[in-house]
Amino acid sequence: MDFELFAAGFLSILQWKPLLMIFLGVTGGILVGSLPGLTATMGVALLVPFTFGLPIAEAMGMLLGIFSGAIYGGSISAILIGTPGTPAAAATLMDGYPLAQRGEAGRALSVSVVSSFVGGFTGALIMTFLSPQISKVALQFSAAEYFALATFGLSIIISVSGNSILKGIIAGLLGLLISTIGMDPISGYPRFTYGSIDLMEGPAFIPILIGLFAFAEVLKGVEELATREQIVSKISSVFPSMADIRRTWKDFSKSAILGTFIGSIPGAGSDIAAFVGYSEAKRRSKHPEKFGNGAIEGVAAAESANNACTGGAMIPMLSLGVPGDAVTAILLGAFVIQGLRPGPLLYRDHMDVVYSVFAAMMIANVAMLIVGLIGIRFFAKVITVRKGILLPIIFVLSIVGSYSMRNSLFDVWLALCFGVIGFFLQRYRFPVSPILLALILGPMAEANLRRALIISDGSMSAVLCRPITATFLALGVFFLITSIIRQSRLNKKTPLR
Amino acid sequence: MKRADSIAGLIGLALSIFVIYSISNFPENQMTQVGPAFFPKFLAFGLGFFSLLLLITAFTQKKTMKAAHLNLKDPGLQRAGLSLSATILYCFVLDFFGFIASSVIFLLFLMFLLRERRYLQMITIACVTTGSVFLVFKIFLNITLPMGRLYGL
Repeated sequence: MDFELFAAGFLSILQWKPLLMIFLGVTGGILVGSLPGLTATMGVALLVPFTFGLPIAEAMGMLLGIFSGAIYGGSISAILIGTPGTPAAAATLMDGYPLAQRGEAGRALSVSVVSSFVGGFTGALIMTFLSPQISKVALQFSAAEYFALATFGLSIIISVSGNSILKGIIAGLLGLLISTIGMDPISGYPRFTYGSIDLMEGPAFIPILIGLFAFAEVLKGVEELATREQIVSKISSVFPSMADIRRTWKDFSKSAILGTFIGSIPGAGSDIAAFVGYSEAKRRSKHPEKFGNGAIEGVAAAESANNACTGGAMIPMLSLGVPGDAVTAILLGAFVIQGLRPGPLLYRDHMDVVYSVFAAMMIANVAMLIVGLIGIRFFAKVITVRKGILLPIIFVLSIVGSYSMRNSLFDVWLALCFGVIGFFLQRYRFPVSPILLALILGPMAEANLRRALIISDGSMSAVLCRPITATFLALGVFFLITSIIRQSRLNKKTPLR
Repeated sequence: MKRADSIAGLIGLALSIFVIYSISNFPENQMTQVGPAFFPKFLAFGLGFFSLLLLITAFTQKKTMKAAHLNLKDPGLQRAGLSLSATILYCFVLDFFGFIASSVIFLLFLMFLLRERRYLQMITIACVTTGSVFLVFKIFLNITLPMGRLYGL
């Protein structure tokens, strides 16, 4: 680890502009996360277009701020109104909401923000020390290894597919097919462009992302326009007491490490991490019967684990160029828009950027603690914003976001098309995350497979039998099979809805 | 859900056949057999196979998940359809009337559609949102949103 570069990274972030962007991102993220129906993925997707013109430190600061803020923000509505703002906060709800019903909402929220900070900061620290080591190994990769790596990344499609494995695979294949639109990466032959110049470079990533995650969600929100939910809880205190810290520190510390580890496994998102952290705290507790009835340890463990996951998910994204979840897939896209490709070459050629990202992630977590503690009372009010006001604003932001990347109305139409597709896909229980993952990893898989085949004179066995390639492919198959088994078991347990 | 899955399976099958037909015109790489058609062909066959599997599952499975019925008389769906139509119209007029005028009207219409009736609040929110977005893009990002053809006349 180069401490000089590390210090330089911190100095580049500790300027007023990057700091402002981090604080803005964190505040926006907490707001987005606290609003049920708006996920961290959607928040980051909506804000990516705002970062085009910004220097990398400011852009990444803002996006990482949203990422960290939104994961914490989900706990606010989970605690106050019993509706998790993001899936990651589902475990927090189990004890957070009973606490709020007992009139201890302030206590639950303050423990939640402190645990989120500890988890997020630990995740960022582990990411800082671990990812450079992984990238050193990845520098030895050739085309065959990159193909295997992309295939390994694609194996998480099942994990992000929800109830239907088959539909997840179909969505993934659809995404891979969409990724082949445009000029062929090897020969330059235009594929499926039908004479359209706008399609020559392939369908732009951001409009598709905005369509699938923002447009589709707001259309769904418009369809299911519900009445406003009233918050009954009162917030008495915004700081956790020393007694609560003493009571929960073991749980949130353990969850922080567990969460980071789970986050670094591609496909295992913050929702899984939160439940694992929660279960571990319950298993360790002397009073497991209190869990589910308002145990503060449950809130601490779940929140620490889901925020630690943010740092964990960044490890494969930064060091290998393989996103750990949907949000890091968008962050990867944001890097590409800035002219940088995450992966081992980023560590070799742009170490300054890498250290800025590490610093931004740590500072984002400190910002989350500050904004979270100061803003508890305010955020509690914001979650009562009526959908009738909120949804039209998201409509406009989505359109402007799609337009701004290339100043092109074609991209707005593209976003609208994918919005409608996403709306129907979600309605009929087709997961949309596999499409996103396929769009990111598809070009990497295709170009490298073909390059490797050209180098090996068309011999597939020569490509597949290389040690690292074989290891990644075997790991991919292993993940695929375990995900299928896990999902099938889950489907058997959960009655069909 | 059976019907929806069957339709989805059929769409997937049709798409895969269309892709296979389209790539038949792609040039082949004589040396390595990995030309521009190589990857899409593999994917199209995969999509066709899994779509067929979905179609068979839809017909053979007794219990399926319940899906929201697509009823065009449903007020929620009508509202979503109206919002989408308004968005399409907004995109059409954006270039002519410009971002500011189109967005204020678009926001007001959507808020009204979503049962907002506090008119003063609606106008304030529409103007502040439009103005803020315009200024953020113009000042921070150096991107000028469409001014409209009436601008400068």
